Amino acid sequence: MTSLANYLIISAILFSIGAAGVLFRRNAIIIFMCIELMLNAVNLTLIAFSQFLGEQSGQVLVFFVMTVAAAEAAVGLAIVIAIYRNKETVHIDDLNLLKG
Amino acid sequence: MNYNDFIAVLPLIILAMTGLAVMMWDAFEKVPSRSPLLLTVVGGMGAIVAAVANLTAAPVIAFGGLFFSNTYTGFFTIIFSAAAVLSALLSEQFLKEREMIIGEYCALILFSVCGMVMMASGANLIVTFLGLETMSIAFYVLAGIFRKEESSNEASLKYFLLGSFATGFFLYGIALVYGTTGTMNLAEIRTIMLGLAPKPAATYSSLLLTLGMLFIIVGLAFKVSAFPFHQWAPDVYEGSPTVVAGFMSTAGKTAAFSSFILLFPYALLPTAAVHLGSEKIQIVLAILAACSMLYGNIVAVSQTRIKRMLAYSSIAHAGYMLLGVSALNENGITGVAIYSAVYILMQISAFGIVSVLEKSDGNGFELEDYVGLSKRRPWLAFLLAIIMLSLAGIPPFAGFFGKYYLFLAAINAGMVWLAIVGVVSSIIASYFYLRVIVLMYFRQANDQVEVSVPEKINTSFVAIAFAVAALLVLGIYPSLLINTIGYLFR
Repeated sequence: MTSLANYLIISAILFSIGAAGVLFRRNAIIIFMCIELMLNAVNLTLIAFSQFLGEQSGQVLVFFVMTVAAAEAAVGLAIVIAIYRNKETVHIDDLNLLKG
Repeated sequence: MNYNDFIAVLPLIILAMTGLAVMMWDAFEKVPSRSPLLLTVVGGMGAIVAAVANLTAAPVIAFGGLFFSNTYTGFFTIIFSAAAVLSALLSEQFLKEREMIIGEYCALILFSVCGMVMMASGANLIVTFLGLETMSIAFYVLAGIFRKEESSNEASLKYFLLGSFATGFFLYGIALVYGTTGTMNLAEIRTIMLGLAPKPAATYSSLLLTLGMLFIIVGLAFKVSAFPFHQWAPDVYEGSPTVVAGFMSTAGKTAAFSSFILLFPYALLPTAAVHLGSEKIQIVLAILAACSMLYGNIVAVSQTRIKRMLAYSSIAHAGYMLLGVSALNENGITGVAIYSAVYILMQISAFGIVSVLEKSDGNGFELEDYVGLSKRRPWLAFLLAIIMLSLAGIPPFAGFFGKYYLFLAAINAGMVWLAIVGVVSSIIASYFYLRVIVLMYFRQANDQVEVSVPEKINTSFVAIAFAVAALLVLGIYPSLLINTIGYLFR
């Protein structure tokens, strides 16, 4: 049986890839995908802990996280569309009205 | 699950139902009217009444350990609902001038308050997480509610990307705390941290637990915009509609603090914590508090636009409240509660006055626009002067007592250096708050003809006047608030 540490390490790696993507990519949609990757890495951690603890609330939280991620996607893509209609770009370097 | 559980969360039910009603009303209304606003005010008042009724009831943990219902949650429910009512009143004129419909706006305000109440009453990490997200998602939409305006779009996208990035960290923290303590229930986590219950042998790791706490701190520090996680705050508050910025920077921040207190002094770091890293976590919180206070106030000095100045000063105010959290004692919790109530009154009315003076074409934010305001709008200038004195923490006004309690808490916790940093940064802050008063009263505008405009008595003016009156009353009789809170936290 795979040990708990393996699950935790793989989800930590996935989380780091997601976080690095948020910091280094410049396209709003790709940044958003990286955030989803971070949330799913956490889901993996939760399920692994839940399995090894023999306790269910971690798995319950995973369902809530998926719901919240869907709600976030709806709002986030709507914001991206609103921006695209005004500026015809989703590149965050082009969004520089607010500086100082 | 029984009848009493529903009574315990009655304020939340009232807010959610009013939010849905406002949303449906807006969808079916043919001619825009004031009804959504009235409904929002009635719903907010109803939630306040229900929360006051719950204050005197015996504390319970409703729905099998999901929701606290005690005086702490009652207090925060009251101030969040009051903030919602104030911002709804402040927004009417503002939105009408910009041809926006108030219905969807009010519905979003109510939904975000539902999230805040969940954060202040979450007895389980799942509820805390859901509350945080309910609040944040409503805020992302509110920040971008002027969807034809590029600055509003940009504020919304920045807030959304950085906010959900922070959510990722917060959630990772929750997962690690859950894994190492074996439960999501805050009361059970507290007994484990106090050493009264065994840790789960299979998954416990001191390192992972410390890491989990740090991730939770990062997530919440983003939400309260504490240094160094503050970069989004000035841009978002400047770009989003002024009334929304006022609501986000007050109620949103204090909501995050209400769950900060439940997570840290209550559950994860009770004073007698046996966990080895607890002093280190306290130091981390104290350093974040000190840096936020200094950074926010120093950068605010050099701002020339009033919205950005208020945004940076809100970073400093987050630092003051974080100081109360890091003290990890009873005084700190009382201080954060007092300061939350006072800060909501001060900051919402400050942003409210900025929104009244703002022109519909997006001008009127420069500090220069406030020169000679005492001649043009004597009443607004007078109210703004009181708010600025209170924000600076000058004694007869309510802001002073909030700060006094927070600094006292830091000294009681043996962190005299932190209290000194707080006092020094307050002195820096008084420079830019008093500068606004100097500009309004002691400077003549060169090219403008000074005509006094009579104040129209509309909802905005009434809301601002009410908030300032509350600040004065609480400043002159601080015992009103302090006795109530003393009774709350006994």
